[in-house]
Amino acid sequence: MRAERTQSLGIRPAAGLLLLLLPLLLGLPRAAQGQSAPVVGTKHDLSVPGTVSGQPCVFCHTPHDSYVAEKPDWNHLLSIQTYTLYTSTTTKTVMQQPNQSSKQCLSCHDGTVALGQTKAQGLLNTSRILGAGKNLGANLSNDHPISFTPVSDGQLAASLFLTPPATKDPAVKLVAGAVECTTCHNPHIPNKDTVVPSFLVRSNASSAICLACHDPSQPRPNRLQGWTTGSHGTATNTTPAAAGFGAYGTVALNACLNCHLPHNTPANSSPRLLRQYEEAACSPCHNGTNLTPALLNVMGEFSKVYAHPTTTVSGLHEANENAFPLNANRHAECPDCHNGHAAANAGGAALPPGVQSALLGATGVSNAGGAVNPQPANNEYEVCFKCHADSTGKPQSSAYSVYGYTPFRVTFATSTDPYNVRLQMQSTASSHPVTHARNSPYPQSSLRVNMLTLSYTAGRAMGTQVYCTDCHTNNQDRNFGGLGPNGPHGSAYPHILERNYQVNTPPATPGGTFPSLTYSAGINGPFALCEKCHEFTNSIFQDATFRHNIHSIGVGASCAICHSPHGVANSSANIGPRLVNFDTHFVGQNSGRPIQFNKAGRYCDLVCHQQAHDSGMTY
Amino acid sequence: MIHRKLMIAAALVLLGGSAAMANKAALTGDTQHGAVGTTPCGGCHTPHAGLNGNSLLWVKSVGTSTYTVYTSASLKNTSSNITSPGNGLLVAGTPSNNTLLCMSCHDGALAATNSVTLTTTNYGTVGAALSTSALLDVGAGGNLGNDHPVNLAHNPTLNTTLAAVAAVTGAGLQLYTGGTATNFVECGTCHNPHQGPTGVTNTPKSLSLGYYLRVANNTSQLCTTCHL
Repeated sequence: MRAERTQSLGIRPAAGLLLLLLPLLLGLPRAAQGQSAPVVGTKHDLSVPGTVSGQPCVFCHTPHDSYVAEKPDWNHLLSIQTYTLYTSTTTKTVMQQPNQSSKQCLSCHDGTVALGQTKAQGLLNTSRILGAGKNLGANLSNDHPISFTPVSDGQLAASLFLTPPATKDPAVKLVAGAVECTTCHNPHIPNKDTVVPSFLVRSNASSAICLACHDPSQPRPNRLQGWTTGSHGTATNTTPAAAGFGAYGTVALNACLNCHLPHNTPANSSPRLLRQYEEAACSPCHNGTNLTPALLNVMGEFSKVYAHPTTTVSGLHEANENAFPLNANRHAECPDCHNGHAAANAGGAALPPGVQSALLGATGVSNAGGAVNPQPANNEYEVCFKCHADSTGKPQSSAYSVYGYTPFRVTFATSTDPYNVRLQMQSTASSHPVTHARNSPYPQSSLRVNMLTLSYTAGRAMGTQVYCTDCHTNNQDRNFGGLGPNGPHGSAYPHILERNYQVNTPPATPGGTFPSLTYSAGINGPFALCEKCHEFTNSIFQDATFRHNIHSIGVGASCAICHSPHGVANSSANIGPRLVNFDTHFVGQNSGRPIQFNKAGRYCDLVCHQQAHDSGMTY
Repeated sequence: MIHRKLMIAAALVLLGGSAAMANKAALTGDTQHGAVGTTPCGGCHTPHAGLNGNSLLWVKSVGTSTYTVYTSASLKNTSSNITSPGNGLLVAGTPSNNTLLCMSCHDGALAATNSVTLTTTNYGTVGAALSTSALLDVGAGGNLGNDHPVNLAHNPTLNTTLAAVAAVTGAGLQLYTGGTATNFVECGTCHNPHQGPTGVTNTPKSLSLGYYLRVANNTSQLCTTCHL
């Protein structure tokens, strides 16, 4: 057998060349030459020249005595395999065992029938064996589904649901309304795609075949919307010619294949046919290597002390988790904040609250609670609210403090959820202007004209609204002069804060003394984060009516002891304005009276740092 | 004997049978088609009283059975019932086209029940039952659904993957035109019943599978004459 194959390889090129030249020699018109001798000489040509197995066509087709129901004149013995079918939580299509058309391909490509075993001629010798990776086996769950009639799920081309159904590309055809192997593959012609000679029906550069059905132009909540302007569909960074990357050379040309594979995906990433699982799918390009020019190392951010639990939690993300908020299965995988189909490095909102380019297409929870409808999120905070708002599963144990000091506010006593940032931001009492424009009735004399960059130069104009990521982001975020990846992947500071935001060590009992912080101006000062927007030295600290400097410099008390930075939810009449909401680790009751900030009376009623404050101590 | 042969040959010339003339020698030595009757021609043709409307002076009834015809979702053409439109070279309106004549033997059922239509002392018994070989019993059970479709037009306009008509005929294959039929594919498109079982006379046949093919098919070149 080995000798025969060797010999046949020696003969084949000459025979193939002759066949190719024959029409030329005969002077036939070009149309007659066509794609002369389809299959002949390709990997689908199993013929052994010079023997009774010399006919390339006969391994699949026979002029007589073919299968009765298998067209066209099918000859290769069909498999009797029952296949494990593709499943996914996001597909609406009901999968079924392969149809006639695809069964024909599987008669070789499931590896259960001897190549060359024909119905009409019996077992023929073959010059080839099934190539590595071409044996799909009995498990089709890690391959793009076949033999299904598409069911509209919001992202499939509308033309698939017309009569008659069709893809957007005439080269990509349905078979009796269904997707079959031959929708993407033409078994007769191997190299219509010159880069990937896998018998594709056309070039799949820029994933043209995929996009014939998977349609970014469908309306919201289509997860693919934004693809044509997103980085994964447009970036010209070159990709290495290595396993794990598309073969087309650049991110834009690899397109879908940057992240997805049509066949033989790894076992644990089969849903949606991803190359790898969770962050591992993103890591090869977003780890600072491989691409040219290289991207920033986002993966490295997760190694910082304070980081989203992207690399530490696995197996909980599920693409259909649209019934927000997320409760028990808390996790923060890349696709929870980023939609790889739409994410970009330009084109997003430049100013709060709109989603920035990297978050384009991500899902969110609205400021009224509940999923944004229709998705995706319009505003950055909506992405954060998926986990940091109404979710009942937010960790409230002491373990939570590993991400930073856990404050406990006086009004939380009446709040059902002290960690619900949405309620804080939507407070009617006072809140940082994240979900709404600045609306305080009081003068904002401390606000700077421009936010301070990390090097304390003038950054973004103050405006009337801020992002979550103006405070919670990488300590090297480029939006304010850093050199690292933007966004709250990780930070050197607790709570994934961009800058220093120090909190005193609490006293043994509320109202007791506690160690002072030492104020210094500049990026390393204890209150640098607040200083980004609020000018200390010329306004707050020197305020003639309320002397912050006594507290901040004199006592060295953190801003956080008196102010709740997100907002004051569930405020009482005497707690709430100016984000005042005392940290009850520090502040105790005065003579059993409720802790108060009585703005109208210009006094506080409490004990702090062993100092009783009451209505006799006005400012 | 010689006289009879000449008579038959002359009749066939009148019916456009020059190809038959050219291959007379091959048929004479043919142990398959040439051995069906007591004479090389007599298995199929008779100088007198031909059946089926005298089509090609055929000696065997082709019956009136209809056939299960080939269908396919990807077939661009319409494969009509095999009894129509027929080969216009013969008598229009009768089930006597090229393919049906072949079926008078290569349909197991017809061959068995209809085999003896002319038993005279001159010609002997004609039409012994066919071999049980599936490849020879093409229309067994009245089923042509598992065979390459016949009685349909070779239409490169309709099916752009087909070769031009001139390329097909130029390569030695035959398309049939007559009546309402134009460039029809019939058994005779690929097979020439007169040229001997091992293939085309002037084509290297050593690798051919025979079967009276008009073009050797040792590298599927017969298939790829039409299927680009």
